Amino acid sequence: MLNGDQWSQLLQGFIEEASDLIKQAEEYLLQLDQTPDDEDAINGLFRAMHTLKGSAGLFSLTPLVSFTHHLESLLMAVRDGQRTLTPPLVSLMLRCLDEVASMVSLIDVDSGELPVDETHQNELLAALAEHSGQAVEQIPATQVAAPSACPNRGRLEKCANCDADGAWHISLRFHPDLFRNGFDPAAFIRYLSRLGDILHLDVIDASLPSFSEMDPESCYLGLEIDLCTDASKAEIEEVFEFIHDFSTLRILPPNSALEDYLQLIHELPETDQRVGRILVASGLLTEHELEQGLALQAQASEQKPQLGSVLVEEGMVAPQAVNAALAKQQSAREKRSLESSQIRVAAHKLDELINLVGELVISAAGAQLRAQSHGDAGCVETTQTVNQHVELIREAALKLRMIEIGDTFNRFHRVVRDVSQQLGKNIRLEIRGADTELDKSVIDKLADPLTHLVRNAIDHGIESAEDRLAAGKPAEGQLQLNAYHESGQIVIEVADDGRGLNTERIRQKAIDRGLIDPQANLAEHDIHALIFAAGFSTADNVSDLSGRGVGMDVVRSVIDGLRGSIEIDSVLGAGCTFRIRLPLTLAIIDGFLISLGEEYFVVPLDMVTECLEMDAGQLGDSAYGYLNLRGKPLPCISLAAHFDLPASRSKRRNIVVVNQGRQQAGLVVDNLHGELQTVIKPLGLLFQHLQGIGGSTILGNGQVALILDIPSLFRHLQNHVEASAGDLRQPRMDISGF
Amino acid sequence: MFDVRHDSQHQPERLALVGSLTIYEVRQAHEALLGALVSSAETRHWLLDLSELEELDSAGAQLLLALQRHLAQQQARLEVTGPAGEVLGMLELLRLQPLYPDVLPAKA
Amino acid sequence: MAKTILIVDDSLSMRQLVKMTLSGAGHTVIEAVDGRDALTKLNGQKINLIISDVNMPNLDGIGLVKEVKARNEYRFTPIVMLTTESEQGKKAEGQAAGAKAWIVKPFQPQQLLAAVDKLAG
Repeated sequence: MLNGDQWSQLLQGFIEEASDLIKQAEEYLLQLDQTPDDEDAINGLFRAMHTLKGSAGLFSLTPLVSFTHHLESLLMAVRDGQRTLTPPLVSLMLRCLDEVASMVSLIDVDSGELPVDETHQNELLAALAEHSGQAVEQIPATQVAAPSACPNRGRLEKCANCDADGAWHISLRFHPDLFRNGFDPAAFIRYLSRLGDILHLDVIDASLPSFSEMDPESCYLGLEIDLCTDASKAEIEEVFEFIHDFSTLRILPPNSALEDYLQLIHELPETDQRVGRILVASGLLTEHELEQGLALQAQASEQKPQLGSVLVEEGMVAPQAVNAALAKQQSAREKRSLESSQIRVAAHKLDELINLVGELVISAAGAQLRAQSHGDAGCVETTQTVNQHVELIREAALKLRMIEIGDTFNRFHRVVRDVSQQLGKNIRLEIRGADTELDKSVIDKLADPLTHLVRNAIDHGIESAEDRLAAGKPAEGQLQLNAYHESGQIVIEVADDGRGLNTERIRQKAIDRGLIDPQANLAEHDIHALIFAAGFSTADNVSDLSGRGVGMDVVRSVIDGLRGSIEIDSVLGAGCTFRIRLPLTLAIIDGFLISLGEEYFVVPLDMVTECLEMDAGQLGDSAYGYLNLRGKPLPCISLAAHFDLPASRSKRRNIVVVNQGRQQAGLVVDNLHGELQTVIKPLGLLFQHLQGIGGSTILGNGQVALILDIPSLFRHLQNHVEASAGDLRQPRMDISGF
Repeated sequence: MFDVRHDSQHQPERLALVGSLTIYEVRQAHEALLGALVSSAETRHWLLDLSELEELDSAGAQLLLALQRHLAQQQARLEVTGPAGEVLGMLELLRLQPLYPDVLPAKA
Repeated sequence: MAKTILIVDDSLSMRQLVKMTLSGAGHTVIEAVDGRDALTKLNGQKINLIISDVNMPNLDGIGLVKEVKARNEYRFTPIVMLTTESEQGKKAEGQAAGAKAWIVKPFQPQQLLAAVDKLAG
């Protein structure tokens, strides 16, 4: 029997599955909004609802079952060509999906309970009925009724308190060797009766040979059982765990679709109609439904054409329904085989693994340091091998966390549809690089900023159709989500072909808000960056859509928190692109170790472009300045001065040139120690305010090194350079000879 | 331990099953019953007395079911009498109505 | 219904756990310390179920299964093997020998009772 924890775990699994299905359904709906006749999409949508309903039934989530049942029925009508998915119907279906999603989110994993907002549901259902007219009313009453957990469980008499159609149907066929292996079906039946009430039980003896020919030790029997229970399918299956290899077990949940029952009848080896009779007796099928099904079956076997074509010829189902059913079976099979090749792992277990791998990286590095200082060649070689393997493990472990960004991107189809409809704009969303992989935790944190950027683009960026036509642009606006890898980083772009940022207005607003000095002479690029300042909004009227508390400053801080950066490319009248750059992963980085006196620092390696060496005399004492690098000014920051560390006494200094996007800067340091892999440990609360430090790490020799936060150093440098723009314009040092 | 007592002297002909009828005994029981059926191939009315049967499992029940089906095919009449306790429990569990005694004993 | 169950395990604590669980549910429990000892208990008395460890001295679980299957009066007796995760490789061998029900240690007493009911209930 399942205990509460296992149950919760199963239910948690269902919630995940359901969320996936809802997402799929939404994608199909949005696709159908564009191409209403897309059969694959219709089938996919129907399948998603059907699966959702079926799984919900397993967990006795009655309200969810009955609500999805209505959606399923409507979709069946659509599939059969009786209804068309008009845009208003798509909108309504989307709202219904929202309701399904909300129900799923309300499932209490511990109690399995599901509170329902019936008023809202009834409104939606009424609207659905209006849209679909006959289609909803045609649902046979027996299928609408929800499965019930019978309060009378435990008694062996026929249960009078629950509807017979709330029963599970269990079909068992046994292997001839069942008895010989010491198994007695009677024991399993007794055990099964503990789960609930056995409403019907029929011993199937169709395979039993004549008395004289039978081998009395062989088992020829089968069982058809109807069980009224609130147990899950897994619990029922568990009853038969030991005879798994000696039986064929089929379990149909309460309220299975008619076709599932017919399918069952079709599959069972008996030629008589016993199974069907049992199904009728227990109210799972009506006499009429059974007759139809069996008649079709008989006809099919006489004429030998495929069952599907019989159905179509008989005019009972539209051809697409048969195709859908076939496709459904096919895709269910495919999905099963795909599922079996995947393992769902709790995210925290992965985190734990990554953490351990992080520690391993450190200790392996420590071992190598030791070996090197010891000088034993064999030992050095061995630790090198160990380190190589650790590196491979690290890569493999990090890959486990990588997921495609496509799912996140696809969510925006809905956002774009809803928002543009609300604003009366016509906007097409294009997605590129959906298969680009990103660390899961990064993707999770990215959802909100992306949503804001997308809403912003629709709300403020893309003009109304009239304005666009007047500006000589196509009436339909374009929004692009784009993801790709670039030099060890992930780049994500949100691009629109709208009016672009209004530089002058931003500047004015920034002055009004006291963000900049009216006299300041800022480049256009820098003015655009001001929209990330706290409390900045360019819309004259804060709209309901993009003015919901999350401002650009929040976008910026989320990106900063991910050790990423964001930049804007905007051309007035032609469009605007927000470009987010993010590290591939958060946990471990390839670093470049440097030191200032006794202090060690790590620069993320992928940001280092080159290293230069120079005489200390050529450098001044101030923290910020310029060098001339091959004829171009290179802003420089003396880390010692920046962090208030004692000035170096060494004669030679090193400069590490780092880049971010289009910007370059030099970091003045004492010594370079080369590349290393390092695990980022978050800074304690005490140090979080430190400008320019993103985290810490422990070196192989046990010493702590601080990880430089290059984007923040860049901002810092820029502020100082701007503040003292006058006297820093000229390069003070000439190192163009490198 | 299992035994079949076959009384062909009276009508209806009587088959009394004694002891245990489980997977361990079904082969022996099968042979014994087959023997009785062959020797009385013409008999059209049988009485199956289960009152001395102490133990019955699914394999035994299957054998009884096969016997009942065989007689039904021969258009012979089968009366069942006397199952009690565990044996009756097994017949009821498997809902083997054809093997229920013609008059069900009052349940305790 | 009360059953007679033979528990075969060289671990005293495991036997005690099994015995406590099963006698608590009203079953009669016979103990054997290994496969060879178990065979001496198969002396004609009625046994509804055998629960056996795999790894034991003298005669191991698989050997015991083969012996049980070879004895006419016990050849259909259901056998539950208690195994650990690391012994999964033995499973195929055991199944070929005739042990069809397996419980992985550590198990909940509830699991054991369920197995008894499913196999001998």
